Amino acid sequence: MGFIFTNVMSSYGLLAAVLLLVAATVCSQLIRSKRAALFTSMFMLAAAAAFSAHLILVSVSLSVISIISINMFSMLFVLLFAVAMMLVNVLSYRHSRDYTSFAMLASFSFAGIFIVATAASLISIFIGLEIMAITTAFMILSDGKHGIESATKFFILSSVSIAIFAFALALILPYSGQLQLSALSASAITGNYLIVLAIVLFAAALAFEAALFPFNLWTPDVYEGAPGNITALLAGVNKKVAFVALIEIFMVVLLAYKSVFSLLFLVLAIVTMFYGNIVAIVQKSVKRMFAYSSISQAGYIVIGLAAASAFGIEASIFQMVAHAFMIIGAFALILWLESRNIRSIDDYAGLNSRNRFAALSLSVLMLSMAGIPPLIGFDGKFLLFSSALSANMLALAVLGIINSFISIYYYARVINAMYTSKEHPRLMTDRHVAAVVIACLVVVVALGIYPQPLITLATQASAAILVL
Amino acid sequence: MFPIISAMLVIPIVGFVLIALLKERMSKGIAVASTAIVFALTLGLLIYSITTGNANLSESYSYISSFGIGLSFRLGIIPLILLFMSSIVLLATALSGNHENSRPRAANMLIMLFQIASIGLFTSANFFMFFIFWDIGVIAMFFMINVLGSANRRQASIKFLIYELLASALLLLAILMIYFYTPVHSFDIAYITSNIAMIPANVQGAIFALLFIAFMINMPLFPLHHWLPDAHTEASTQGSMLLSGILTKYGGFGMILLFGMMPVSHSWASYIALLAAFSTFYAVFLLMRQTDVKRIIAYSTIVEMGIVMFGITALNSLGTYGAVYAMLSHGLVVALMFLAVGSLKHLFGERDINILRGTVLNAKATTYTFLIGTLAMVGFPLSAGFIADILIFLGTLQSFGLLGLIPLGALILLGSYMYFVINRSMLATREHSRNVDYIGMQQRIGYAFLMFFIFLFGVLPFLLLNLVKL
Amino acid sequence: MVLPIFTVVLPLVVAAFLSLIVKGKPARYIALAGSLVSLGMVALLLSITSNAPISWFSLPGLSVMLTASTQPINLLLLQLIAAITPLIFIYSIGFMDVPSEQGRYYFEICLFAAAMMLFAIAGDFITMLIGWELLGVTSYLLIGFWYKKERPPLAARKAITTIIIGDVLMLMAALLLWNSYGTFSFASIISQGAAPLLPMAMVLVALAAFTKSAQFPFHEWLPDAMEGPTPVSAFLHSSTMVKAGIFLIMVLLPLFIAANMLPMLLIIGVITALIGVTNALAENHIKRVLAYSTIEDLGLMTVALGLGSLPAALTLFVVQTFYKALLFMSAGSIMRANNNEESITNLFVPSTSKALIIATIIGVLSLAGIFPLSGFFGKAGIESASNSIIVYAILSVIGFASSIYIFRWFLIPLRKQAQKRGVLANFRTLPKPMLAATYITAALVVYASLLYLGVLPWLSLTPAPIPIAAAAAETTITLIGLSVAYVAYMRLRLKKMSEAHRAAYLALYNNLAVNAAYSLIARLFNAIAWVVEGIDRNIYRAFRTGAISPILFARLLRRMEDGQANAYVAAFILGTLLLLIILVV
Repeated sequence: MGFIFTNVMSSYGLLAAVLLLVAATVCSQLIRSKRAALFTSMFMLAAAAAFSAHLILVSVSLSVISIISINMFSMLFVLLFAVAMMLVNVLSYRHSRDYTSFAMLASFSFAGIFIVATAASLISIFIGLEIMAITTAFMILSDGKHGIESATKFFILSSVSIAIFAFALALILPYSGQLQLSALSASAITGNYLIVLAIVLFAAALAFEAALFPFNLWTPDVYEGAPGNITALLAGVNKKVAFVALIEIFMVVLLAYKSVFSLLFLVLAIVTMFYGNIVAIVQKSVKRMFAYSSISQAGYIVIGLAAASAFGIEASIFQMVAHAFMIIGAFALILWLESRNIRSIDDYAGLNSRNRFAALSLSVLMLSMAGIPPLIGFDGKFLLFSSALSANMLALAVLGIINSFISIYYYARVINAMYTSKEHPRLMTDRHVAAVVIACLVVVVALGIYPQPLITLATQASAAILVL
Repeated sequence: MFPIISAMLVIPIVGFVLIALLKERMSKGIAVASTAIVFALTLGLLIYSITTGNANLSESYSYISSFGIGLSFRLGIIPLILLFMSSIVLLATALSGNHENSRPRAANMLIMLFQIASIGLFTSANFFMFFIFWDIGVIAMFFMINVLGSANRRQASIKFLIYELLASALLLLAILMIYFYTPVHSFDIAYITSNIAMIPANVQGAIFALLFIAFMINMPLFPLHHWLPDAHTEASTQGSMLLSGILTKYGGFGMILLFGMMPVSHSWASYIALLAAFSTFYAVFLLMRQTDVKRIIAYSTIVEMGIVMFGITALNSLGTYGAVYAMLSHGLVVALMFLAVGSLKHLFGERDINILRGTVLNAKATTYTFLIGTLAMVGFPLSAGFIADILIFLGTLQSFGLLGLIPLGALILLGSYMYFVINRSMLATREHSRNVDYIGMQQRIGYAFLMFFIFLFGVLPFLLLNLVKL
Repeated sequence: MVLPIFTVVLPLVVAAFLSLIVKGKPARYIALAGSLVSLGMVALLLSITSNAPISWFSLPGLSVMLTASTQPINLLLLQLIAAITPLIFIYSIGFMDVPSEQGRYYFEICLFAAAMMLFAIAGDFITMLIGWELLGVTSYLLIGFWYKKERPPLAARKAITTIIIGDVLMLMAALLLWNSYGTFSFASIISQGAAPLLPMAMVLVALAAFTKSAQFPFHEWLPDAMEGPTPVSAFLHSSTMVKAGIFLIMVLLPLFIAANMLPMLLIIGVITALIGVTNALAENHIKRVLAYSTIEDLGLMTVALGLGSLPAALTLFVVQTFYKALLFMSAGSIMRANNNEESITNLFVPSTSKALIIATIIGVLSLAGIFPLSGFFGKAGIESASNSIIVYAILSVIGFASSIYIFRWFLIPLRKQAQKRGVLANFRTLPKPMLAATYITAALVVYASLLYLGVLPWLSLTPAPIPIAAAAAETTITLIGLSVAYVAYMRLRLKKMSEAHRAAYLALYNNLAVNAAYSLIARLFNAIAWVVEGIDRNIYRAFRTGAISPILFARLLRRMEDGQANAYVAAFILGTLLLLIILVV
């Protein structure tokens, strides 16, 4: 059986799909039809996913246009983000106050994300992040009760971070003379302590998006204030985009400073993990608890960067994919329960007797996040801790495992609450939420039990990014 | 050859899916069928091993190839004994543990999950699989307590989970360290055992400490035993049967692997023996303060596992096989006891020895079962515990001299308190607890089934022990 | 066909389980048939069985055999049990008339008899332990047979607690000997002689034997065990099970000699015998008097062993079996006729039931040691074996006192005349099987006497030689005792000893505070348990405090987020600076 597309066609197809996505959703915004918006978004995202999946299957690596690079790494993330975006779209269709606006903004955002994921130069990363940040601010604004406050916070802080990013770019430019990633990696930037400053600034700017401590103080507020579908987008997609940018900048451009940024990430990983996990323990609102949980998960992902090896990146990639599905599934459920006025842990009491599906699937997702085998979260952590050990960072692995142990407590608390018996009216399952959650569960369980395909992909992706 | 181990693993998986999909009233039938088939398969394995005199078997499939992790299983005499024990206990649990047949779907699904874990754990040939099945078992047990337990189950289950996952966190760290410090990165237990010298001495010490504490929590030994009594008090009858009967054996099995694997254990053995002996007496004194029959049996688990640990620290084959035999015996006995206690609770709605009175009048079979369980618990001849005691204490005598006999003293205290319990609440006085129901045929079959094996392995110990070769 | 010797226990095991299944009345015939078959098998034993050891299990470093020993002493005990079991069953046909309980009753007794036989032929520690522990458990079950009453369960618990101690000590001893000798077999251990840990092991064996044979300080369970049915008292708690410990010491006597343990045996034996005899003087419960008497007899056997005289011990061992069984059987009949009255001061025996009185007199005279009845050979044999004047004096005092209490036991019920007509009628309608068994046992006592008189050939065992002087002294002392008892109880009509020596009497009546000491020990253990529990709670509390410390820390951290965007920007910049500092420094 031969493929219909040639690789080149696929690549152009991908680009076309993204552009059409934006155009089509703008049109649907004009006619303000929810259905049309959903249909076009989903269709174009599916097309993007299909093209990227095809390119992954033939494991192709070619640069099509000078600012867009097509390789295993970028295609893996385009695929991931397209799928994640589809899930968020399904979720938002019912639960967004104004779905057509959401669809349009999300399409714009996806364009930005696409640019970051396929970036061939530092400028693309910058532009992509900027697009994503602005559209996200609007999305937060457009929805929810605390929209304005959250959006304002987010907007102010992301402006700061983007400014810092630009400053860091400016610091690098004189030394490199160009911004093309591949060229930068080939000509290692010569040593200067201004470069160290640039490293810190890049890290800080991206740590904001990736919600690493202490640049994450905005996240709990925003996550809680924003409606659940936006939170899912923030935690499941935007955060991963920041990591993609981190990997592209540090593992390609600044690889020569491995020893320097390795230490930086080591510190970030440890403080972020501890912060997220410890503060999550005392939360009463489940949504806020998940905000902290996702902070700690970001900390785990940084472990791979701290290891700064092909193996480390592979582990980080794996965990990014894993966490995207876990957190989207979890926030989908939270979004739905929130709409039924179930917010705090006390409200979750007796959930099992109200809706078995919700309790069971949330339990599975939380166990996965806690790193219980044979779910995907365990495989991710296993890879991350292994990568730390293989980079001779025993302490990091130990601290990671300690954190993973601490996290048990707050997840178990929710599970515990859900399985208490309380008489409550039953809850009808929401079809859209159920579809999203089931999709996430399938990934979490299937790839959890048999992680080899994803490990192989992650290995190839990390190899692809490191040869650049 | 027929891939019997993976077949054994597939059966509960199929059972799990079927229970989830089919009608709720069919779930018990499926669970019983699944455990019965696995029991039949292990019985077949046992008969095969006895007739050929060889218990070794292995299977391997590729799994996570980038780490060289295979789905590999290996069976020897020790895993075979524990596997057989667990299949007996699981069948009895599925058949008779749920007196009220409450929430059959959840209960039976969790039994299936636990069965997957147990089969996998006792047969796994590498530490990665060992760890995965360990955690599956722990989580299944957590839900058994949390979902099916009694009034205070929430706290008890969290306590259980925290202790057990601390154990599994240490276990994970240790196996990762083993993997990265062996020259050819490997999780394979046999490979690691033969190449343990490649790991630097101080790292070996750390790995040993991690694994030891992990297994010690699970067994449990003093001072990390606090999860067990609470977990038992709140767990359902089925949960308790599996918890004490099988889950605590994970740790015991791990200890045997650990002491067989790491020579560094030898320098610690005498201190650990002291700890084990202390734990035995400590638990027996705690036991003497309990009034809830279920808690009493729970503490007896700590007593017995202390003795098991003591046997392992003897570092000779008698002590080790004695420990295995003690786990076999204790698994069966404690399942029998919890089943009987479950029946008492079902019949009289009460488990406190200050309230239960004269149960023998209204629950003869259950009371006699309790009595026989008590006998087997203190190592009555012709029950498997007697053989275990002989082996363990011969082993420890060889290693520690006269001191090796001291933990036997705990059996005196254990036995006399058990008889006190029987006297106080089971034999008749003027007042007695009235029954509300009769005990079902399924429970009677469960009693008989467990007792049969307790005495089979006590009367015919050569069946298993003559398979032992060095 | 050659069968392993262990098959001798099979008829009784089969009978046990059959009676459990059949239940009700047929059970007694099954049990009786089982005991007769096993009696037949014992008779044919040597021709149809082999005593080759059976391998029980073996693994590297250990091979456990089940060995039978067919030494004369083993066969002697085997024959005693085989002979007495059918008698007990015959007696029980009359005694046990509650149909609903018969299945359980015969199950337990058959199992006991099987265990006792296994014990009797055991040639190694493991085989012995199987029998030994089964004895303990069946004894527990039988003492607590009337579990619906208040006291039997308590008595059963007291017995089993003592017995568990013995079981564990015996297991320890067996393991210890294996560690020194590399074998469990009695014969090969004895042939190897002394070893370093032998004294220790022998102390354990002796203590274990003391628990089962009711020696000081473990003797107090035996009087309480009288709560069991009378046939059980006649069988287990006087003639068979309680002698298991003594029997074991006899079998292992060379080792006790090698370990220099005879003085210890002597001292314990003397103390036990003294306690038994004095308590018997104060006791009024018809069966408890006999129980203390059994303690005294057992004490005397230990004394004989302590003196190193196996024949003397063995003689008493054999003769005591019959006369004590006889006395219990008569006691059972008397109690039943008196509507289960227990105190000798309230019992009476009408002079019309002559056969029963004669049978009882045979037993009483034999116990007191009147020549030529068998008890004489037992007591006089031990007295003549004594190696010092002090021992001899003590034994004489014991003999004197024992003749007083047994006559007291016999005379007080006899002196009353029938007041209630019902009781007289009861004596007339006593079940025939009970009486038949009693008379057969009386005949056996006489038969045993004839054996010792040399009328009949005895096995290959030589009875203890008794000098004429010793025999004369013994008889004199007994006769004085008899006269004293006669004067005190028939002429002066004393009801109790208390009227003469109140303080001494009370001390004896309260078992010399042995029971108080037991409960003190129990309380001590409870106190330890209480302390341990407190410690345990505090350890957990400490863990818990440690575990929740992150939560307290988290409450602090949470304050960092006050919802102010400028604070977040500040944190952002601070964080950047911090990272920079980390990298530069």
